[in-house]
Amino acid sequence: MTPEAVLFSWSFDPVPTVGLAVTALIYWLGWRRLHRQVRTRFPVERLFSFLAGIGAVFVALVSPLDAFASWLLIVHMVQHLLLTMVAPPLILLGYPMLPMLLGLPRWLVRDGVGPFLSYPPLHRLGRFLVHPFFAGPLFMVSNLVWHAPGLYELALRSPGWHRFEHVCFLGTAILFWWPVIQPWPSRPALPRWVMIPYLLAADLQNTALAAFLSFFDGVLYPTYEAAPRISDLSALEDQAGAGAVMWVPGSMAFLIPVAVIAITYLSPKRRRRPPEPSAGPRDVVPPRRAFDLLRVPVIGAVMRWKYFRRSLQAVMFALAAVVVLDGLFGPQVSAMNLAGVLPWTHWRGLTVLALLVAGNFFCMACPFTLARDLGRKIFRGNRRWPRALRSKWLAVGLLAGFFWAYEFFDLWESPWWTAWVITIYFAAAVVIDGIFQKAGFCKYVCPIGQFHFVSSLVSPLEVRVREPEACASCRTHDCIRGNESQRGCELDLFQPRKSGNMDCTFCLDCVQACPKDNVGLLAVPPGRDVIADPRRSSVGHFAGRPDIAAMVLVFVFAAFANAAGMVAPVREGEEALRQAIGPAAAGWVWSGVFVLAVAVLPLLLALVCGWLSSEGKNVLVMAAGFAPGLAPLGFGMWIAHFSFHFFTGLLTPWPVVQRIAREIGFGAAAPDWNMPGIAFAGLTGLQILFLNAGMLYTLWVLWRKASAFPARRFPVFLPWAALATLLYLAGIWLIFLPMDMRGTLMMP
Amino acid sequence: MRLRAAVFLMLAVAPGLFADGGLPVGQVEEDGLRVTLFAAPVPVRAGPLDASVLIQEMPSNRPVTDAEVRMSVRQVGISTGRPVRMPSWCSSVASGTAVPATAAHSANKLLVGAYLALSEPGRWEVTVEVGYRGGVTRAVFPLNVAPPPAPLVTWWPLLAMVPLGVALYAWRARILRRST
Repeated sequence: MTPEAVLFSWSFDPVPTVGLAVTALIYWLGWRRLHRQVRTRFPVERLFSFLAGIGAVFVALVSPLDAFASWLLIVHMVQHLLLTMVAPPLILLGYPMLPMLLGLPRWLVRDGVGPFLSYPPLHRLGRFLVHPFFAGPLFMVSNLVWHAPGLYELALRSPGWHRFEHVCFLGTAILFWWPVIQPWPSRPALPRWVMIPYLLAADLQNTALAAFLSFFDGVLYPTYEAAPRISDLSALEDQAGAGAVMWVPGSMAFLIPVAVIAITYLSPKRRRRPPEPSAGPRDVVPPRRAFDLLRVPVIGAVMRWKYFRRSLQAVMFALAAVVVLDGLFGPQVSAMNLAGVLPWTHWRGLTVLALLVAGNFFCMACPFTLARDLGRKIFRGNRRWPRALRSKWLAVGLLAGFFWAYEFFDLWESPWWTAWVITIYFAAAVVIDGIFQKAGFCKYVCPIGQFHFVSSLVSPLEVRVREPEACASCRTHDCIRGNESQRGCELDLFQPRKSGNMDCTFCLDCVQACPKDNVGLLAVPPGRDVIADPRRSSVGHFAGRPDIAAMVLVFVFAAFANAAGMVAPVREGEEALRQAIGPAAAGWVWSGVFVLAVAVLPLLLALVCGWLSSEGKNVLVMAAGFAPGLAPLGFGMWIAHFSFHFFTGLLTPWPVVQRIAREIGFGAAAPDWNMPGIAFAGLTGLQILFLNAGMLYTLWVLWRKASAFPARRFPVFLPWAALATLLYLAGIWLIFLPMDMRGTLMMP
Repeated sequence: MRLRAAVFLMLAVAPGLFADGGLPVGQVEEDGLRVTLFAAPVPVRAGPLDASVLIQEMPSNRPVTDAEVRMSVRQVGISTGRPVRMPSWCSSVASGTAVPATAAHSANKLLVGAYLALSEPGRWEVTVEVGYRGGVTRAVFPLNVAPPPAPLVTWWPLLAMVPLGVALYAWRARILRRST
């Protein structure tokens, strides 16, 4: 065997890799708090033990052990030993229950898993599952059954069954080792000495199975007979070797704890230190503050640096300038031009991913803001934004128009038009903010900003006050009025009364302006603000803002319409219409269909749902109040769609950069236009996951909002849930259809 | 070289993109080499085929990892079902076009592989060309390609998440009601 090839055979399968990394992170967050509070109960050794256990699972599932498990039974046996004998005791020695609970967001523990954890029947079920009389036999049966040739072969031939086999091994092993380790704060069901026969019985079963494998004179699993021989071992020798691995290290894993328990049990009792005062699990939970990104070492300091935002904007401005120049003067083939690949694939993908994991970071780095500030310096405009336009209606029209223009003018196909759209955007920002005070462009005009405002309703970070009490004594209100050295919020968001991310550009002006350093970038339960619908500074109640509701509806329905424009049945229909009535007429018909789908239909459906859920009273208020509840579903669809383009076309800018470098004399390599797409067989699954998350979140938000009407909860909820379900099914249908990679060379 | 470095970097940070070898679907011994073709999914279905090959020297069985390998697919019989639209990421691998098989494709680095496009169910051939020590060895593997499964069959565990989530929430609400 080639040693390098073997050493580099790591799969880094995303499910175990990400899953185990997240598990380790959650444990570490919880352990860190407990370590500060009860150091003797949670010393560093517990952390090391847990991480070693997680590491053992990682090695078993991701390392060359997994890559060669279907070729050599010995390797497969080592993989199984890690999952059953090494990882479970190490994980349990980390006392994982309390750290894992404390490491999760508080709202998730309280509202999500909390009710289940305090449910007595589930408590009893948990005690039953880890009772030695159940866990021991279950572990042994699992071990025996999965080594039966039929099932073992099934696991070898089917990745799904193989994963299930591993889940069985790890799951039953954790239950088996539970009474042996007895992680705090669980209590033993039987006296300690029972663990000696318990472990010996498991060893007996293990030895019998190992002996059978070692001494059987035929190959039990035909896959290993058919597998390519990459070592000197025959299939039969490999099988005997696997039996030996199971026998010797396997027995040691049982016998060492037997010895430890026996020695401890038979040793004279030593006086134990008196327990710490905070011995119970309830007592050791220290209070905690919400996560604040601005207080994270290094990152927080960098973000609070006065010129941080300006630096980001300068970088984005330079990038936009390069895109515009290439769009105007470069080759007019989308896939060969930066204006073709960057704005429509990468920028959109990256901004929605940032909105998902953090917040509205595009507005923070917005290059148009740099132009706006320039406009102010030139024109020194001090007019107030017209009262008649102080709503989102103009922005709703521009947002719908932006989506329409994208489809009607095939913007993704024209670098020249894309460059002009960006240029006009800059010009509009300069003129509008050159004439009017404050941030009228961001608040009332910018369709990209509105897209991000709606998306950020479900983002996990929010600019908000850290300690509300500190604001009670504030008389200067620098966060909104500003001071000599720092302007206040230009979008009129007064921090003590601000709630949610609507209209917040993450500019951090309020953070810089607050003399008490009382504004942070805090973690919040995503969507909380939509459910509660408080009276927000400068925004008010959503229920009283039909313009915001209309914007959310356009955002949601455009997510589905935009994706539909890229799938075969819709494109074929478009083509058939073009053939039948000519390209110009077909364009207008499709425009009409698009306007119907993105603007008229959503408004009608929202009014119908409002009417059904309100029994004909306050229809508009009901529709405006509930429509924002659809935002998570819309965001789920946008991110499902954009992630497809982003991951598939991840490498597409590279040959364009090569081309530009060559043209300006910085590189000699010829661009490789046949750049492969990122082959990501699980991408459809990832898209479904995004849409599922959006759907579940929308249903939850709608249900919580309907709970404000206790007497008519279901009648209020059902019309909106039905609308969400229809959209969800449409989204699943779209995801299942192969989607065009418009603007690239990856056309099917 | 820089392109390779960039691709490698991208793949290193997006490691979930690698496919594994799949199951052996054929073995050919030719010119002192043994070529074993692995494929996923098995049974082979119309759509993207994750194809990998193991090259071994005969009779030592020593795996060869420095050969230049190219793979192509060709339909050799009549179609037994409707054509399938390929996902964009494997559309460049047209029928009959030889594509380089690389070690980056599979977790098992003794294998080299690539995605191939099987656009219709029916009889197909996979041709593997191995350039090794100045010679070229060709190995042809016949494949029976079944129609693709319905997406619902493939993705049902993920689709079940929404009803499962709703059921869990309803159960939680019931627990809360009982406890108050």
